[in-house]
Amino acid sequence: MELKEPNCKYEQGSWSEWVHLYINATNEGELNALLARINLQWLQIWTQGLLDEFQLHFEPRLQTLTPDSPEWKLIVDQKWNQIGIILAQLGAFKWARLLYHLEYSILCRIQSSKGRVHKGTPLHQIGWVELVEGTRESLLRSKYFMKLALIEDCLTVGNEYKNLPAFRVLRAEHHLAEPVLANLAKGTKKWLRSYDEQFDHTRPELIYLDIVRDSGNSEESDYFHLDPDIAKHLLSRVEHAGT
Amino acid sequence: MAYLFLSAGGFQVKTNVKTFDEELDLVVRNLATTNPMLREFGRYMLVECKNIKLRVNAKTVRDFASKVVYHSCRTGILISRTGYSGQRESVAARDARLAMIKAHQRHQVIIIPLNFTHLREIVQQRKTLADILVQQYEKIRFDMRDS
Repeated sequence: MELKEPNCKYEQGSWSEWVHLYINATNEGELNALLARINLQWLQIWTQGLLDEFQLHFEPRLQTLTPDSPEWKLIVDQKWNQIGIILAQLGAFKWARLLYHLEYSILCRIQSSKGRVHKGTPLHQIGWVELVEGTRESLLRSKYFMKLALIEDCLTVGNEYKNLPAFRVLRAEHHLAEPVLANLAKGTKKWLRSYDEQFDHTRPELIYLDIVRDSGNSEESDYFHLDPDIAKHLLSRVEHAGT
Repeated sequence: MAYLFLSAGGFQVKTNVKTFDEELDLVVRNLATTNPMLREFGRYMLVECKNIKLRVNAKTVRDFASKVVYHSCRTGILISRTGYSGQRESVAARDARLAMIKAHQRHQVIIIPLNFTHLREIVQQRKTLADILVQQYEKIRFDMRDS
C-alpha cells in the first residue's frame, strides 16, 4: 500500500510524516497499515504534539463534514480511538484520558454550529480508560462517564441503547442492575420532554445532574466531573433569573 | 449550586426539599472525604439561595440561622448575588454580619455567606468550593477583617 502523502513536506520516516499520514488516511486499511508501523517511543515522547495536531486538523475538518458520514466516522470512531487505546495499553492513562477529553470538547464545540451530534464514543472511551486504570477513584470516574455515554446513546438511538457498549460495560463491569440503567434512560426521555433550550439537549451532564440531584442515592453521586462550560452555563442561567 | 457541590466531591445533595411547613433550597450531606476541614461543618448543611440584587440583610440571616438551628445542623450556606450588609464595616460588625456572628456565638451555628464572585471563582477553577467554604467559615468564626 502506498503510504506516501503527495507533496509531503515532512522528512521521510519521521514522526511528523507518520502523524500527517495518519491524520490524512482515507480508509481503515490505510489506518491499520500505519498503526502497524507506529513508533511507540515517539508516541510517548511527542504525545502533546500529536494531540495539538489532532485538534488543529480534525476540528476544522469535522466542522465541514456531515455527522455520520464515512469520513466523520473514520475520524471520530477510528483515528482518535486507536491512539487512545494504544496509550492506555502503554499505561499512559493520563494521556489517553486527555486525548478523549479533547475529542469530547471538540464535538461539544461543533454542536454550536451543527446542532446536537452523538458524543457517546469519546465518553465511552474515557470511561474505558478509567476502567483499565483500575484504581478506586478511576473506577468511580469510569462509571460516571459510562453513564454519560449511556445517556448519549439514549438521545441518539432511543430504546436501542441496550445494544451499545456503554450499557454492557455498566452491567458487566460496574455491576449496575438493569432497572437502575432503565431509570437513567427514563430520566433522559423525561428531560427531553421538559427542556427546550438547545444547550440543555446537547450536554448529557445536565441530564445526569437532573437525575442525580434528587435521587439522594449515595451510589449515584460518588463522582461528578466539573466541566467549566456546564458550570458557566448554569451560573449565567441563575444570573439571568435574578430579581 | 447542586452541580458545584456534586462536582466538588464528598457531597451529596437533595434540592427543593419540602417539609410540612417550609421548603429548603438544598440539603447537602457532607461526607468530608476530600478535605478534613470540612468535618467542621457537620454531616448536614442547609443551603439557601437569595437571588436578589440587594445585599442580604440581618433579618434574612436570622431567619436562615433559625432554620439551621431548627433542623439541628451546624452550618448553613447563604448564597447571594452581591454579599451581605455590614460586610465592609471596618470598625465593628453590624447588620447581617453581626447577625452571623451572633448565630455562631449564641447557637454554635455558622452561616457561611457566598456570593456570585465566589461562584465565578469556582467555575473558572481558580479556587475550589472547599477552599472558599473554609475561607468564608474562618472569616465568620474568627470575626476576621477583610484583608
